[in-house]
Amino acid sequence: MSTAVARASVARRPRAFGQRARAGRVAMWAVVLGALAVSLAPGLYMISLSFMDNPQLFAGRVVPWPPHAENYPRAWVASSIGRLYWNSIYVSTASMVATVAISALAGYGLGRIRFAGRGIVYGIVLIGLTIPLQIALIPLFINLRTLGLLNTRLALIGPYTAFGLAFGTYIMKGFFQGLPRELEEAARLDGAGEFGIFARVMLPLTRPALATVAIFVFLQNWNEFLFALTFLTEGRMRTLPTGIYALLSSEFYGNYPILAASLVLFSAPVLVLYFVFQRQFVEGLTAGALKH
Amino acid sequence: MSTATDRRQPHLALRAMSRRKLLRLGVLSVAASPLLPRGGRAAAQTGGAQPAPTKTPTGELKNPAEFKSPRVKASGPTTISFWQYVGFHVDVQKFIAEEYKKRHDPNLSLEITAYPGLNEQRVGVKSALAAQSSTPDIIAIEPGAYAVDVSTSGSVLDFTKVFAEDPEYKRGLWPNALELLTINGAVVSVPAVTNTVIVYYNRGLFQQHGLEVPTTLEDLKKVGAALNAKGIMPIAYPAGQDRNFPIFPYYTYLGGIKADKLMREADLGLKRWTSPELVAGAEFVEMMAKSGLYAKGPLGIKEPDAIQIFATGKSAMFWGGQWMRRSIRAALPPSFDLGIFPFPAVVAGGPRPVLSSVGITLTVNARSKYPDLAFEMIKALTGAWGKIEYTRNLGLSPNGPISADAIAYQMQSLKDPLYPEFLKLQPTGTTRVIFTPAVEEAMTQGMQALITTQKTPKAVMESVEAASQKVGTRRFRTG
Amino acid sequence: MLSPAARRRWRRHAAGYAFTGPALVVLAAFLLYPIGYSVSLSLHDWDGYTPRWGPFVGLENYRALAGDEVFWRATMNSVAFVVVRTPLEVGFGFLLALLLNRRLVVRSLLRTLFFVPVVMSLIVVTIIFQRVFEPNTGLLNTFLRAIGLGAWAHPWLGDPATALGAVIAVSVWKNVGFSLVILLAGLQGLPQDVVEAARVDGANAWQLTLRVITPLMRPILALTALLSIIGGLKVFDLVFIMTRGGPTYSTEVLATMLYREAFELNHMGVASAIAVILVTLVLSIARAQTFVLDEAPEGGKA
Repeated sequence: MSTAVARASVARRPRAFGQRARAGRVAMWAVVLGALAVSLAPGLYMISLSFMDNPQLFAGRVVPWPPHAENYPRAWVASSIGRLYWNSIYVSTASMVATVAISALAGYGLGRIRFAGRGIVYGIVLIGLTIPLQIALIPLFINLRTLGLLNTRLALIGPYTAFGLAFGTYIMKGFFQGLPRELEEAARLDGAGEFGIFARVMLPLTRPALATVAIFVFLQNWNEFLFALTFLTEGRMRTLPTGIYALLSSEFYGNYPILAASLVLFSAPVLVLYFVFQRQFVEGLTAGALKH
Repeated sequence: MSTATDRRQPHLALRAMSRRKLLRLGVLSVAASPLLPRGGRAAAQTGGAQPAPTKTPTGELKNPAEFKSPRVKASGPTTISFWQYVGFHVDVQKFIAEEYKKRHDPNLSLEITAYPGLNEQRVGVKSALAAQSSTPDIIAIEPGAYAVDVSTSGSVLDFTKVFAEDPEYKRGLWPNALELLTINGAVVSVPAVTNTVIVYYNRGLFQQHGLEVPTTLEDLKKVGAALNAKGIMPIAYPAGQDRNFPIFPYYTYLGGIKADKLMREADLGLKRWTSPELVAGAEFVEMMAKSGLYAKGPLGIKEPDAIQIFATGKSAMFWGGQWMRRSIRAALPPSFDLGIFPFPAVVAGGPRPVLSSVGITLTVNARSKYPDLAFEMIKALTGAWGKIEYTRNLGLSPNGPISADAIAYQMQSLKDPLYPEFLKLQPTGTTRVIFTPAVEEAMTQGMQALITTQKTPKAVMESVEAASQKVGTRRFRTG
Repeated sequence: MLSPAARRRWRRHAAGYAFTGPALVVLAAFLLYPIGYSVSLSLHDWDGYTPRWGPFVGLENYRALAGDEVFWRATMNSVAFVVVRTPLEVGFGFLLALLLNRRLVVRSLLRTLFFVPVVMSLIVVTIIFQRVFEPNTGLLNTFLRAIGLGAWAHPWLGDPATALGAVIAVSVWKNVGFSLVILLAGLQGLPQDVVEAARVDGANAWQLTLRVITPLMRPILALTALLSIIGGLKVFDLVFIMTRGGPTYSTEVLATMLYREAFELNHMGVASAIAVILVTLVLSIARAQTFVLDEAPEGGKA
């Protein structure tokens, strides 16, 4: 891949000597590390907070010593986070899978098949990227009620799939467009149909793009708040953000350490997911993005 | 009390406290003090015939009121839904609903949805009402614009019939709170709790610097100057908390000059917001902002921040609601000596203005499938028995008079000497809210402009008046 | 009877719709319907509570907006949000991408760490930054006082002069990692022979960056900017949770005004009109940007 090429070429570069080069390197590291500190400090502060107790926090400490790990079990119990996790994972994953599947199909259709009305279909996808979600709330509520879907998981899975779809199709279209024509022609000569080409030849090549869409959409679903709050009003259906946010008005109101602990618990799964998939994610992002 | 609730609130377990001990704490004497004039009458109202303090064999006091049986019961297993917006009320609401189920109606369950805040809940409710949904059956609303919205649109039922059938229930609620919820001649909602906005102070810090509790505005300024000279910020005021907070000083001032009625009329478009008294309120807001009495940047401070400032002794006072008491207590070091006082008199010889606010109020969706059951559930939550339990858990003021017995029972678990203090202040307070949404919005923005000294008081009140005139004739009457 | 060529063409169109059909159904149900609803509602008067919409009022809601000071304020703030945020986001992202675009053992780790703010939930972010910006005990002012710059300590979110800047700063902080990841990947995908040739010709690092790399990166920079602009115009949660559009409308943007009109002032028609304006605005920017992208060397034929 291109990354390998880049690495090889940089490696071949003759080493620069002399003070200027060294000063340049020092400056570079200063900028990078400074930016890194700014970028990470708030998150680290949150983790630090989550191990404090109130007196430590109020004393203005930055390092939580001695650490108060008991905030975590308390946060877990207070926000009944276990059930919330399950609900969030269920809804986020189901809509992620639906988004990835449908946008792969649509991306292929838009990227590789010249059919009448393609421009209009793509226009609809672009509109999907731009609509402010607040305004969709009431019409969707009316719709979901008519369909009897309020307080079912489908009430979130449907809209989440739709909101992810615009981004997913946008990325997948770019990726499919960039694949070499020869692959398709070879498969066609072997007698493969359109779906066969898509499923057996093209789709396996788009794994990085699929990973990108999956992570991005999952992230969005995981954090979504307004719809989750409005369409799922039964406690047992609640997802994480609504449960966490509810802590803000609960008796832990103003108790930053407990709050911070629950926030860490809330963020952890997504961070882990990103760390695990980051390579694919980054490659997919570029591949999809570059082809537009 | 269910064991589940006990586990969650360990302090409830420590409740075997003798009556003598309570007396020693001064709690019962406070309850019996003349400052609580309705105490005696209240007992008759809340508990029917005045009972002797009921004790269990272990000497533990019991809820002195009778948990009345509902007039209507569910014919089969039924769940009614309730959308509210303050998370820490859920446990006690659940507890009361469970007791209701156990004692009166085994078929009826209450499902509570606690939205994280008023804004979110309002969006949910609005979507549901727009979609003509039959859920939620019970809706928590705020007095003011919210109440006007839902009632003038015919989205909720009023309490006329309920009160006619059960006058005793009505007598148990504060008349001034009900007045606030009377729109176009009918009570549209009933309060679950009422609150008091008050100044909390750090008694230790006051003593250390030889300061007295201020009783007039001039005193307060002197206290402020003395504190500032010592490098202590006088008042932590979380004006950034939500849209109501910037208006609190204004309301307080109007209470101090007894201009409540004038403000109500201006709100209804009958008087001008540029009337001298109403402009004077804005001048007061500006004066406070410029006086150096506030911790810096009030609009950048939210309630938890203000708690931190106050708890660490960086400020000597905290201006906020009774609803903050538990959170403040939780943040304070054990040695902290917490006191409260009503805001000082703003004019010489005038009253010390207590701002009471009606907290969560409950009403019934006009499209509910079970309106009668919903009303019965509301009566359970806000009737004599439920009210005492509600307050025993939260320490917020009940929505109506309360007896000495009830206080003794509640103090077994509350143990907070400030609770009776708040009760003393409660009947002296008046509640001020704005009913017209556009006027409320103009006031919020205008008060922010005064706090940041961007506009003059006169200009602010002119813009409020302009907003009011733009609304034109109101579609509603209040009170 | 169709000729084989016509049949093939027909089959191609059918295949196109078969592949995009599911997406169209989902988008129509959950996006097009709400948009149609909004467009139609924007021509009516409705308080959002009564069962039926109020009377048809034509363009009255749009006219009301045109005469509303707050609307222009919100529009200016939205524009300022984008104009300030996008260059910072793309600029910092590009700078960091250039610095990281070399053989570093820790590059992948650094890239991941820079991405952390993007992954963090907005609720988390706003709670943290409320603690950072608080005027008296907040981290930022405490830090400034500690290093002797106490005079710069300021009620960042409480002062109309600085509130918008503070909110934008948080937004930039949260999104730089996203630009960085796209741009870094873009740099690694550049044709290395061109870059190498310039280096052999004796170009120094500055010249190389300015004259060779930046022009090659134009389409990707434009794409990053587009995503940032769309995100900036749609920004809601961040502003709403941190300042609710205040103090005194200093941080009011189109999306928060939409919310206020719809759910606080009960002007559903006006709120829908704002939504329509917002969608139109974003779409036209996206459209304009597509032209820029299309003429770029790497641009695919859409």
